[in-house]
Amino acid sequence: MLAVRELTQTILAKKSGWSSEIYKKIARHWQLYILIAFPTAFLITFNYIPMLGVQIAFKNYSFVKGFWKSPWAGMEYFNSFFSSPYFWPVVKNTLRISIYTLLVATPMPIFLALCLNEVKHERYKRFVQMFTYKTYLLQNSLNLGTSEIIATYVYKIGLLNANYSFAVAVGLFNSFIGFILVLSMNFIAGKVSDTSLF
Amino acid sequence: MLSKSIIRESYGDKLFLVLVYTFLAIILITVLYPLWFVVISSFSSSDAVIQGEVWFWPVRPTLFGYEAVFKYPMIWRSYSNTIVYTASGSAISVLLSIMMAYPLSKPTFYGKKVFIWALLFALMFHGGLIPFYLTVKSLGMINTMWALILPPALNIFSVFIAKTFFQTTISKDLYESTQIDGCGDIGFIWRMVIPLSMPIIAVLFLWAAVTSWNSYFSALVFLNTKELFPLQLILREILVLNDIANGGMNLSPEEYKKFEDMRTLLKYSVIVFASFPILCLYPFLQRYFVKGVMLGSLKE
Repeated sequence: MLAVRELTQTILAKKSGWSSEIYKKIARHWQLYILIAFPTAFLITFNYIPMLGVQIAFKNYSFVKGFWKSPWAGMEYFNSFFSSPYFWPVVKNTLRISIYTLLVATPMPIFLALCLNEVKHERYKRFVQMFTYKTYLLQNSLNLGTSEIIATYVYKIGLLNANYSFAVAVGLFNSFIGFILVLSMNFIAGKVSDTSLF
Repeated sequence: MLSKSIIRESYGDKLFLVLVYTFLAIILITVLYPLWFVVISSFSSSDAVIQGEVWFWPVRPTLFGYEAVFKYPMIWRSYSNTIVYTASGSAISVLLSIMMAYPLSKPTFYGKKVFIWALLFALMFHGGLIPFYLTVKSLGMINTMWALILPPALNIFSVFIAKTFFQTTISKDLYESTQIDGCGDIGFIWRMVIPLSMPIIAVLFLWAAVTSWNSYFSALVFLNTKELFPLQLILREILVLNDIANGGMNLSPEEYKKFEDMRTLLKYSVIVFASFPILCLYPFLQRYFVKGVMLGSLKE
């Protein structure tokens, strides 16, 4: 009798250990886990699976074989991009857009907000606010006719000519430049002001 | 107003304020004038637009640009397509944001950190266009309306804004009192969180709607049947591809010449035509807009 009681006690003690603790925490909010499952499915499908797909920049992609089973191609597509006539225009375009964003597009709204903060005339303030927001909303339709950007270039060679791997290599190189730029800006920010992202 | 303030401002302050006011006035003009120019040009005669006579008022007013836009094949079909895509896409997007943001706003939600890091990582790194396209393709969504609605539905920025909003406005006491009354988590969201979060929901909806209304690139990539094209793609066709005469309108050479002249004009009417609904939506949501952004931006 005593042995049975001891046994159940040890089992209970074990149950209230690590795993059942987590189980309790999850069970308490089980409805929330059902809810979060839907957006998580979207996150995995449309963000993480394409991320895995980046490997086709180093592969000879074939649609039949998919991301994983296509044969490796090494740096072939990068080399052909580096020697293509589009290389320098694409690099310059990327740098120009990034530097413009950094110097003009980011400080401008902050400066505008600071100025608006100084204005005490309510109606004038509201008027300026309303129309500056409005153009933000309209931006896209006004810019329809603008020049070629990297995304459209990737689209052209990648999807129209079905040259998937090459296009991914271009895209990957492009984000690589962007990443280097962010890192160097972060480094400068850290040196100048002690504030940095990481 | 300035004169009502008790403390008198020094000359330096006054000068500063004058500078601020003029700066904002200049910004306002540079922002407003292009808008105004587009509107008046769309009502002016095409010769006047081409010769640069249009400056502040419509010159020799005409509605021909709009007539041409209205007559363009597929324009109404694409309009209704865009409305369907925008309405359903934004609704799904807002719904997903809430479903993700609410659990993450609860401190007692186990595994919260994993989800947050997964979101942040996805915010920083992208697969890029081609892998994205191939994923959508393998799901069989190419050339269906789902390709425009589902892939962009989860907006990570919206999730974080909604999460911060829930953290700051939905109190723990409220949650506990509903629990005592026997309300589950989903019931709490439905009966309490959503009604209390209308400002942020309006903001997220407006953002999603504007993005979806203006987007043409994903339609360009994913669709190839004209019956499915959204408005922006048809507009792009009118503006960029210049194939009005080939658009199945059967014009006589004379009419064709007239159409060629109208192209500049058409450009402006098209922009007004496409932006109109968004401008109509804006005033209704505007009162939430500034407030909602501010509330969401607060961090604890």
